[in-house]
Amino acid sequence: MIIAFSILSVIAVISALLAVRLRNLVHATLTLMAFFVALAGLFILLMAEFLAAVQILVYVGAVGILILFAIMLTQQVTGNVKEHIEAHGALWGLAGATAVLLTLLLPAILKTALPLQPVVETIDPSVRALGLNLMSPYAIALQVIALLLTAALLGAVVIAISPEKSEEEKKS
Amino acid sequence: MIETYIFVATYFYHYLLIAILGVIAVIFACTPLAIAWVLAPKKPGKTKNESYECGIESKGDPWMQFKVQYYLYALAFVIFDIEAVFLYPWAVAFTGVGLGGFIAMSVFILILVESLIYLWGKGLLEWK
Amino acid sequence: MVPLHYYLVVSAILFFVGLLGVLTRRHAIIVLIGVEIMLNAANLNFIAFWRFGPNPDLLLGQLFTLFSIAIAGAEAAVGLALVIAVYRFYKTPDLEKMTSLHE
Repeated sequence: MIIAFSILSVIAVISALLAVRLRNLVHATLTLMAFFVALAGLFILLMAEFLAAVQILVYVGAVGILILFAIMLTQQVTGNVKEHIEAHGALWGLAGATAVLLTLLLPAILKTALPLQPVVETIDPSVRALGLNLMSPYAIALQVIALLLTAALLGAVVIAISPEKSEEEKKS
Repeated sequence: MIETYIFVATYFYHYLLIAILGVIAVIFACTPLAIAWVLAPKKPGKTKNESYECGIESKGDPWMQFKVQYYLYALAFVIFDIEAVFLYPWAVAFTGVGLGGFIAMSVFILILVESLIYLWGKGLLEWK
Repeated sequence: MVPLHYYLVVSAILFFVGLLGVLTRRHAIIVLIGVEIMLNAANLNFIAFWRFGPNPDLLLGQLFTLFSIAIAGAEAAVGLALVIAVYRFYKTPDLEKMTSLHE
């Protein structure tokens, strides 16, 4: 258990770090996918099997591909070696992020008395309970998600197709 | 107590098998590459470094700009992938949710079909 | 079992890495990748608390994470479409060269 947890979390942290630090954007996206897979492994350790499957299906399968296509549409992939990749004031960014980690996140975790063992050990891992919950108390949330997805698709299509092209369509 | 132990052990035993299979797959894929890298003589030449043994040499940067259509397909894929994720628990629990669940899911699908009709009407599903 | 602390610390470090990506890089897509990493760190928190909480049968953490993943997908779709539109206008994905509101 602890071995699997250590391996997965080390993979997750290292690949996340590489994903935000690599110069080549395609490599960054591939390490991001490795990060998603490692996180799916952590979900399995926490007995959330369905969410691990969803993580792989949505993030690795769909969002990763989407990011790759977006990179190919914005051309600058390999990155010029001479060009700066850091933002202005990147050191301040590093300091700010470290401050958030050291003063907000870690003390809050370490000071709180947290359970060492799960309260309920045996969890029904079936998807059926999830479906039953999704249908009765969360039916409205489901419709809101449908609306959100529709709006996102329409909005993204309108934003992404080039203005010249939509003008051509108006004429025809 | 003993049932709990058996439950947790069986759960992780299944995933241990998958993990072993994954490790074997990685080894299986990497070993031929490693053997080829160790054994093959390294004498690069001009003809050897060409991309194709026969055929026209490709011109230009391989990182060329793509058509925006690729992105639109990926976009539609993401949205309907998420729809499939919500359909799956509903399908598993179908016998337990009754008519209400059926209506809720029908509304869900109808809302998303709206976006498919939009894509179709704009002619974005056709490859130009 | 691995204690809850460990999961929370890993999640905090992942959040830190995502924040680092958002604050220190100037490429728009890398900033979006940082946002995705932070969202995933939050999801890990939800699942860990769900597993260790008193009522895992209610599936609150799992359902919240499911909705969060759906919203993250929509966010990535719209965000990357915006990156493409901005790239078409400025001819660069560099966030620091998009300064027309600045002047």
